[in-house]
Amino acid sequence: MHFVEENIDHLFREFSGKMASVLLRIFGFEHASLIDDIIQETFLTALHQWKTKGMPDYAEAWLMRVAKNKTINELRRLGKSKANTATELIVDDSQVEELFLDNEIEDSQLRALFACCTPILSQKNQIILTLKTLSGFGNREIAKALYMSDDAVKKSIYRSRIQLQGENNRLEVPTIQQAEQRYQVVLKVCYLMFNEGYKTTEKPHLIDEDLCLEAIRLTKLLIGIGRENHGGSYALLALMHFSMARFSERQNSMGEFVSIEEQNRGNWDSGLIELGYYYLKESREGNTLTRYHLEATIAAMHCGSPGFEETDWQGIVSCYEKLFRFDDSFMMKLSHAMAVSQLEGAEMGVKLLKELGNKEGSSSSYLMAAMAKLHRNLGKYELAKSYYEVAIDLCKNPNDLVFLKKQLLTVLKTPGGNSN
Amino acid sequence: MNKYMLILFEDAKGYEGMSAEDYQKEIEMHMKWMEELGDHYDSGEPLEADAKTIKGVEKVVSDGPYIEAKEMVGGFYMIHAESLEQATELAKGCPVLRLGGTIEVRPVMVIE
Repeated sequence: MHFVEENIDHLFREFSGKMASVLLRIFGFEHASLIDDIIQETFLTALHQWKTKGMPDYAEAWLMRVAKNKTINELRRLGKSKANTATELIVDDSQVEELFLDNEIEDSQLRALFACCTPILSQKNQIILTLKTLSGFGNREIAKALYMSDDAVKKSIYRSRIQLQGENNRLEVPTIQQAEQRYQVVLKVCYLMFNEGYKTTEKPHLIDEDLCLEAIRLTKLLIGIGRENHGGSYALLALMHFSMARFSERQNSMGEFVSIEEQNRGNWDSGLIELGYYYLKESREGNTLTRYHLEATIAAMHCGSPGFEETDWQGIVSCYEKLFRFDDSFMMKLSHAMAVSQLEGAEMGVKLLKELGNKEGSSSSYLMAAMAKLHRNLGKYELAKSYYEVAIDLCKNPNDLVFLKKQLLTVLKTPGGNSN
Repeated sequence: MNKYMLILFEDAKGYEGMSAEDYQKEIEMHMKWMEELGDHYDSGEPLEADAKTIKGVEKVVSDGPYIEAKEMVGGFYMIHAESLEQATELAKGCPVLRLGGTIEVRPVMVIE
């Protein structure tokens, strides 16, 4: 009996993701629950054996071997069943063997990633299916990560799999044109997945960091593909690393949101920031500008600045202005206005926010909070107080609510802030 | 020290709905416990679910384990301990209990 010293963190989850990809290629989406079963049974066997005998030296290879044998058995069983004359399943043992080779496993993961990130599904469902298939997340874990019920996750996966059955059942390699289109979709899914993990809507979940790390892993998987221009992927990686550098500081010990203005920059992870700069440099390959380039640059400017005031606000404002081409949403305009207020003064920011409210409606908690902040900066505490109160009324999100109430309290405590 | 056998009865329902991460944690706990046992650990084997039962003088053979499987014997450990009390204390650390399993602790008979 021996104890394996290698890092087995997330071994099972990673293995689950790899296994699901290989099995999808062999069985297709129509046998999705069979695939789930094979993986479950492999784990059960492992648990059973290893708990009395200890983990073997090459745990993953062991798991692979067991899964492969179960797969071969299942194929034999299905091959004999009359119900399966419609599908051409691989029944040759040596073909199965081949698919279990290392380079084939990576190839299967990429195919599975491209298959799951399909415009046929909504973006949310793409994320859910990717997490289930590629990332080895269980239903409960996905539910926690995305603030959904277990049941909603189960339904989403079930429906997505059915929708994909007709599509590309055996994960054939897409044409070059299809691959190009799909590449952008996959990149978007990685970006969205990362944002889900980074959000601070509620108290922190342990799974949040896993979600971010998984998004990074999948983005790196993309870079392995031979194609001309990975600039966008490198830019996304840069953005993710700059963000991860600040991951632990964005919430305090009580799980409350801490704004970038208030974060202790000394605690930002300099190793991750360095990696961010490395990826940013790599992202200049090719000549396509993506939104990820711009967002990464903004993140770089924050991370490179010793303090909030000293940040290169001119640089950030011009990045936001370029970002409008890709995303001219309400929140983007709001962020732009706040950056402008740092550059040109709070009055300018107020002006932009008022324009935004007039054009697109002012019943946004974020807009009201932004107005409150700027009026605070201007010393107009009565107005700031009112804006915070409206922001609190409009607030739909527990963590934001805590943050807003704290801000209001601070204003009330400021001399001149409470006119009673 | 004497030898004691830990017979593990496992509730199959305990494993329902476990995710990969859950399996990971279970195994890590078992490995941690085995480390803690140190010199007390002698051996252990898991048992397959396949079973045949032979009964009595007529040697009637039936399929399946002896007891109808809500709790099936999943495996055993042999450990060294000073007394049944100590063996029981040591057995409390075994993670099967967390999943609702049962452990029967029996001293191995010493024949002089």
